[in-house]
Amino acid sequence: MNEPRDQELSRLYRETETLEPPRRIDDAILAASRRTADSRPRPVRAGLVRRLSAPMALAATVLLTFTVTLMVFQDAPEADKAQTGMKAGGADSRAEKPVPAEAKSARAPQAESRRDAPSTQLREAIDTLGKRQGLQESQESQEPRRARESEPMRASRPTQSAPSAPAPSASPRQEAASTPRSAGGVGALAGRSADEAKERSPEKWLEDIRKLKAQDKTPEAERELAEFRKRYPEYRLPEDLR
Amino acid sequence: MGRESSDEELMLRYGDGDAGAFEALYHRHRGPVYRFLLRQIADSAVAEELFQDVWMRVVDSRGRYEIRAKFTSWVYTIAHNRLMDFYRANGRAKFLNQEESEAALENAPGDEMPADLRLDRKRTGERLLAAISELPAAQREAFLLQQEGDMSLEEIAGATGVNRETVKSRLRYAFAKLRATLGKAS
Repeated sequence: MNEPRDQELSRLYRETETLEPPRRIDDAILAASRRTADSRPRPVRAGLVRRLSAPMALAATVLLTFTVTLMVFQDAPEADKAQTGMKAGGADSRAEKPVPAEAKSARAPQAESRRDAPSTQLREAIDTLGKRQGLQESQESQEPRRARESEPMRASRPTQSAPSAPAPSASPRQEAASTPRSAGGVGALAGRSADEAKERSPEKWLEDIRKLKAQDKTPEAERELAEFRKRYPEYRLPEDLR
Repeated sequence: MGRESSDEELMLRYGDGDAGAFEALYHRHRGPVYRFLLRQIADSAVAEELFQDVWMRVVDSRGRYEIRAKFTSWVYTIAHNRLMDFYRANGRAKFLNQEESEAALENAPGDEMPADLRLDRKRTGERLLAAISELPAAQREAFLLQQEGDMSLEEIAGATGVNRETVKSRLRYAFAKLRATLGKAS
């Protein structure tokens, strides 16, 4: 540090007469200090608050922005799934049947609120899709079941391998429509379709195959029949279908 | 027993309204600050006035006090400024930055204290105080700030508004002159 300091001089200086201020000066200063301490609060606190207010506001803004961003990104995948599901379902309906007014009105706000779709809106979308699907099924009763019961739906319920539930392969369009449902956990819809598959008895299935034959859809009828044999190997087929 | 509060902590507490903190702070530094002023001015009435003024400025600054440096540096800076005001008001500004020549330092006796300096402490002390009073103001101030304020070169430089090397030089001159005076007197 190389600081000049003469220890001997310092010691000599300390031994000199230690003069102190007179008592009256002490009293005057201490009295003034007490008066000041009692009279007013410390304004430096206000100054401190003033100085810190801008950084604190900035920090609060950053925190709020971060939180909101985090929430949006957390909700986005769920909302995207719902949106995809709605689009697929909508394409289905547009291609085959007119969409009911109720479904239309339900779809529009859901599509608009894609970014901030809460779980209640997601459930509403699922319900709307379910209703729409039900309408289609009632109007498509003459079409093969294969067109409504998709492979992805079965994949979503791996235990659905009971003999009473035939599971023909799905068309690409149906995969597109049903994938988001099964992936998104649309359990109600998937469960309902699986129940229908269970409900179709072998006799009903054979009846459908007969209808296909009657409509000259022989390749489809044969495919259905092969599927039937695979599903019910012990079942004795009627003469007309052997 | 807890540690003794620092000067800065006491001043902050005083800023929060703790009058006792100021009292402790005052009693800790009243003697050194008073002696610093008295030995600069050599007039007890003026020294008392300046002393009171310094502490009243401390009292008035309680709301604005922030820890930017040691409390002692701040107080002695106030004292230094009051001294400068006094010097200017009394036409003594020419003394403020008076420096000794290099020759004076070269001709000064060595660092060894004369042997007989230790014999009569009281008389030696009186001679020392007389020698201090005869130092140029800037050197005397640097010496007193070091002795009374226990301040480093940097702190003295900060309080007096000069650079570290200037303070170092002033102290060297002051030591040399004091040793020379005490040597001659003995």
